[in-house]
Amino acid sequence: MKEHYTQAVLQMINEGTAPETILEGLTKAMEQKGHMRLYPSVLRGVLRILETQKDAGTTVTVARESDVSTLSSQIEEALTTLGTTEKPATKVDETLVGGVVVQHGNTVLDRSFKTALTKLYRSVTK
Amino acid sequence: MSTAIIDRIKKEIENLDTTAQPEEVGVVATVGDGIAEISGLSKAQMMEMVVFDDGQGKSLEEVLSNEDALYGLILNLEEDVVKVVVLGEADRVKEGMTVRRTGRLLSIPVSEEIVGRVVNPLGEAIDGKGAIKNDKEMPIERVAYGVMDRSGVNEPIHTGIKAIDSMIPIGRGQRELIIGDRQTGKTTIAIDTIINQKYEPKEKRPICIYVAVGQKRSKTASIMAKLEEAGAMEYTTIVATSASEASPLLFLAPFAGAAIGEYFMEQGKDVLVVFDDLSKHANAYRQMSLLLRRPPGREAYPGDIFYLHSRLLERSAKLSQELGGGSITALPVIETQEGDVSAYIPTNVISITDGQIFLDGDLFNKGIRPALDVGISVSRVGSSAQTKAMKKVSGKIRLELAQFRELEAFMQFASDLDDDTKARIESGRKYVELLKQGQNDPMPFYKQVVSIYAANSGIFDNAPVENTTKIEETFLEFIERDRKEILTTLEEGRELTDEVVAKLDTAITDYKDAHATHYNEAA
Repeated sequence: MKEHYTQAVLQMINEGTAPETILEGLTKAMEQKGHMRLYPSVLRGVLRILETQKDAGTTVTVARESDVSTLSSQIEEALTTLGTTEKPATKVDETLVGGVVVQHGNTVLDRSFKTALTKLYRSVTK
Repeated sequence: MSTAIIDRIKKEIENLDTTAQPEEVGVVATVGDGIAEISGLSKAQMMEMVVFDDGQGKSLEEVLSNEDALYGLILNLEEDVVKVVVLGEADRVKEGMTVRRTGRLLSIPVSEEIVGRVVNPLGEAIDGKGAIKNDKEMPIERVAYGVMDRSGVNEPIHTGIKAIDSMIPIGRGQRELIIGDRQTGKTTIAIDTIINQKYEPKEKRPICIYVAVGQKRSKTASIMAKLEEAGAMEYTTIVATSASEASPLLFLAPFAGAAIGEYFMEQGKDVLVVFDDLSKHANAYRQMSLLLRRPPGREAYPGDIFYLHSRLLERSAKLSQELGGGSITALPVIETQEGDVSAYIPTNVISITDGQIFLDGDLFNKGIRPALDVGISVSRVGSSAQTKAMKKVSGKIRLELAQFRELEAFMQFASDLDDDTKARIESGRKYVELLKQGQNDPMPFYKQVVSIYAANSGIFDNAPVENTTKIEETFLEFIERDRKEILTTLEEGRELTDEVVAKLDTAITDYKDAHATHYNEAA
């Protein structure tokens, strides 16, 4: 039942119905059917699906501004591996020491020197 | 810097895999009480390990000066979040911290080097003797071997405790529960069993694993000292979690012990695993389940508390010859309250195991130690797990004690009883004295056979009850000094042949003639 409500709300959003209208209509319908206890979980479900549907966003993090051009081939390769062609946002994080971290949505490809050196240090000293 | 260290670093650099793979990441939404809620790990698996990236925004120097990587274990997959138990200091986890999936289920690194060491449930050495080389990763959670992969339990594992080896024999591949109130000698039985394995020939000696679940560190340290003193640490591994550690680590400890045992079992070796104790294990699991908001059941335990112990103990097995013939023998320990064996957790574990050794506080206080209640202790494997020699001598002792227990109530009316009854009571009391044994003083099975045979043959006849221990001690010394071939033959042959019986009868007669002072007067 909850899934039916969720799908109905999503269809209305996709059709362009105003959010206030959707919420008002949903509340009335659920009250009439006595399904109000499902209301919070229906809204949560809708939000969750909208989150996954929206553009994941791609970020490239480098240690220095100049690394964006120096490491451009690596960045391109990483973007291909992650399956995205969109232009990424760039961030600078000096603590990376070098290399690049590319994130697309919930997937990250970490080729930073910091991670590699940490891994090396822990494997040598454990 | 030494050449060895430079070479090692060079090797690690050469072997370092820098080709990063895409990893799924999530973000810590909330954290508290050792449980972190992570959003974004949509493809996470149950029991998968995740690693908390607590180096975000920190310099390399800061990251390296911190402790090791912080891991978590996924235990709840919910609609919007996954719930992760933090396997370490939960203080290091902050809201908004990135968490990465490792893509592997929780496993423990094992190799031959783990024998003789003290480790935590993650396989990390905590005895200060350096890191342990890793040969294989054994999964912490694993399905037990099927019926067709197993064979019957028919080889004994000797505890060195006369009362157990004669009347409650344990076989390799069996699960025998040790149950009793606090301070009744449960751990002592387990430790004595481990120490007694030093009398086994090296090729047949089981590898021992002692799992300390939520024990006081002082107790674990004293157990380790006892094992070292007895020379038992060379074939023993200790998996230690103290009472102050997080409940997820207490939950994992017995499974880690089982995983280490499986590593050796699959090589065709025999393993003895002691879980001390599963009551604390159940409490830790209850604590963790309540924090994970799993519905509480009876006594607030989660609904799958039985499954927790059944899947752990089912991993003990005697494998078929096709799979190497190795075995894991489990000695789980349960602590009861006020002798109540009908409580929830004790009844659960009793129904899972292949027998139980009951330790009675009243017997302990009366000085009967080990405080075994032989009447209600049982081994469901029975004499299949006894040497032929022990099988021959144990029948009479069982019968004598059974009759003694029946007559014990009449002891206070001793003056009103007939001579036959008085004789049976006297004989029963001597057998009770015979079965008393010192702490951490296990007796090899061949000496036990000699001792019990002598008792059955009347070596204690005409002697006061108080002299029983003295007679036993001096008789064994006499055999060891003057008739050592009896012990050697029994140790190798494991059988009470007519020849050995004849020699023993002669030895008993000679002993009695030479030690008349022990009879008819108290020592």
